[in-house]
Amino acid sequence: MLKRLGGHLLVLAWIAVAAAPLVWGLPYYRLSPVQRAYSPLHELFAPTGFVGHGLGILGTLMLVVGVGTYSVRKRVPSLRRVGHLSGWLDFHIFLCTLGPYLVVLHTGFKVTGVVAIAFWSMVVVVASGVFGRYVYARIPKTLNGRFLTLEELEARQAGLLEEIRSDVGRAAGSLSLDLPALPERPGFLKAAVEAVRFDLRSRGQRRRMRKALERAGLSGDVLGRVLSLAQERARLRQQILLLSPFQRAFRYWHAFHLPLALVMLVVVAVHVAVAALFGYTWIF
Amino acid sequence: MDLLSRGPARAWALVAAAFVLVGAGARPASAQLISPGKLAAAHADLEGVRHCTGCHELGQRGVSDAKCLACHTPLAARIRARKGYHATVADRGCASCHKDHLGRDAELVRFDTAAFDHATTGYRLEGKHAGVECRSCHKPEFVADPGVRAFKSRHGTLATTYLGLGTTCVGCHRGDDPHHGQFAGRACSSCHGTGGWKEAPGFDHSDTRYPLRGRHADVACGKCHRTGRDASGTWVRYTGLAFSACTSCHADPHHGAMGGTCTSCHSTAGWTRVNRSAMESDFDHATTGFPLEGRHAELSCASCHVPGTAPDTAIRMTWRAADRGRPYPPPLADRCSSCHLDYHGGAFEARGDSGACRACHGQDAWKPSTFDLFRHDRETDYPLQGAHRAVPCEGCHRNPALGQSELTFHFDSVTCRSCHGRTDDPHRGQFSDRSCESCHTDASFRAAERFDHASTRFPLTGAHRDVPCASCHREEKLPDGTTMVRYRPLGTECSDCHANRGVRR
Repeated sequence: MLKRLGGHLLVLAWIAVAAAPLVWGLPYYRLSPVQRAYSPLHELFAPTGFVGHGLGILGTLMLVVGVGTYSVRKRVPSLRRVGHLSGWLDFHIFLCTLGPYLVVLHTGFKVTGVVAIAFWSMVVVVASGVFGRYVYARIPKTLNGRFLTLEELEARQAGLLEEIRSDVGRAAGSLSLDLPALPERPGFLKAAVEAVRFDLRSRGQRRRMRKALERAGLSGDVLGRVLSLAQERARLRQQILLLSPFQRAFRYWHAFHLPLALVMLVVVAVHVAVAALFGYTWIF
Repeated sequence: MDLLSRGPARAWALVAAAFVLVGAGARPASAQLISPGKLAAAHADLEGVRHCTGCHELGQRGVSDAKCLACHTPLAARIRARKGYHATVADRGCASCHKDHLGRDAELVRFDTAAFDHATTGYRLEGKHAGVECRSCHKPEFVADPGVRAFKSRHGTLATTYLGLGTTCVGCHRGDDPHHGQFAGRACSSCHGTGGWKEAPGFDHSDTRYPLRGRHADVACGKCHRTGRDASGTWVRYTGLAFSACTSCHADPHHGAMGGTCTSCHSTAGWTRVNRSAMESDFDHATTGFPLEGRHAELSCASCHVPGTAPDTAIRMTWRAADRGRPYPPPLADRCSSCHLDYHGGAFEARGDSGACRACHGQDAWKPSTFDLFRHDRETDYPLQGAHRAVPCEGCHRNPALGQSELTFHFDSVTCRSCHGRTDDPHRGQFSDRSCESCHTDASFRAAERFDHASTRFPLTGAHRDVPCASCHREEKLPDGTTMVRYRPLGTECSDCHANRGVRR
């Protein structure tokens, strides 16, 4: 419950921090690059302006802290007991989505030169992070975050079917809970498409299963319980299908997400150095 | 699963691959490594990471004004000389107005021309200049400053610069000299302002060799300064006009009759107003064909030439010339009647000379007339003799007693009684049966030279011959109180005269 509240607070904080400079600077950001240069708001919102530069510094600090703390927490064995890893991940996601967003505002939606490498690295890293988070959420795990094996998943499904049978008093097969056919050993792309499709269809599928159960003569508490069991089974079936390609993809993803983040940080360091060299030291 | 645990070689290969992949997407041209955007076309040769410090000073935000001006030498010179607009904003950074790194096509000179105060350039736009498009004057061909011209030509920005114009009129108006070089060597501004070429507020005709006086001041320029024409077009002639004589511009309405020098009578106050003092002292009236002689020479001009003010009312001059709309008599005023009324009411018009005044009058005075006794003897049917020669003319020609209120030169008869008979018959009709001449001559009425007492009924004989006339012809008192001498009828008897006092026997 507390964790859920914390999550909401983080989202609210994200929105608040993101909205303030956007709303404030919107009249400036709507201008063309040339118009901006001659706008009185240029002093504030230009990449070198007080607000613009400040956003860049703040965003970069968020990125450095977000990447640094999560990586260190994950990799240094002595820190393994400091908080739940999923909490650190939430913090990582908070900083590493808000930071890039602030950096985007810093650029004024206009990126040229070598710093573009950092920028696009950042964009790719964030995009991959968002995608990774989506995939990660769909890999069946124990409460401690350990990925489940295929055997464990199939055993759970069998358990579910047995539960349904004892609830209804007859075999699950007689309840017309047939699920749409799934592709055999799909590749990563096919699996990803399937995952998205499943997410999009889940509500309709629940409605169809409820109707099927009503036709089979179920009602009241029994119907509710059987319906959630049937849904969990459908998700389990999906996960069994996705397990292999997603776990495979996630391995590659790791080799992608972090190196690009490092590239980004290196180029940002160059960018900061050049800026400082030419006298752009913000308030310092 | 953990990247680092799989060996550094593979990890860094992936890092490099990612670097190249993302780098290729961003296409960082070598020139654009750390540049925030492409430089404008005029600064294109400053593009590239090696040229950053061409404009920027390390450790200093923005661009260095000193570095800008190190290249923009014409501007630097003007700022040093405190001339022109940029000298007034020298405390601002160049980049506060001229912003770069906004792309090749971006304008480096970008300002609101409508709101720009041109006075800050040291050349205030006034009059017609105020409404003119900037580029009407700021054209490449009008850039006069050689330094600006060279600099801007070298950088291909001559067409876009606002620098380098001169402040002389011909700097821009060189093609439009409507005077065709008449004022070569003189600044347009010595006459014209910026209000328009048609006006010349700086021009004062008084400064010319022909100051405008009197009515000339009100005359439209074009009345004297006419349009000239030659192969190169038309223009108004302002210089080289002849003005020594009035006739340089004016036609002579007298056709030379009054002489060629108008100013001897006229002034610039107007043709209809003659310069009286100048005219009276200088004008040679003989040039009119009517030399002023005698009394005419003594008169003021106004005596004849100003209607209604003739002081000599006796002349009874009338204003003849007014009928012709000119304030002087006709040039050929050879007749007295041009000015004078015929006092004699046309009495002499039947004469061979139509009654010319000069037949009897000179110019010295109407009176006395030149018609003297001798001419009376010669030229009339009534030569004056005897006492008539001593009688003043009016005695016969204007004698109220004779019923003459005016001069009278015509008589129906020339008998004595024509004049004398009406009032002065001392005989009271005693001799109405005979003429005066039968007794008197025109030597005198006192004597009766032609009377012979022998021709009467009583010839004088004896002692009667020595008796004075009055002894017999006594004076009688008439009933009206007057007297007359009784000549007839008298008795011829002795007793008619002598008293019967007794005869001495």
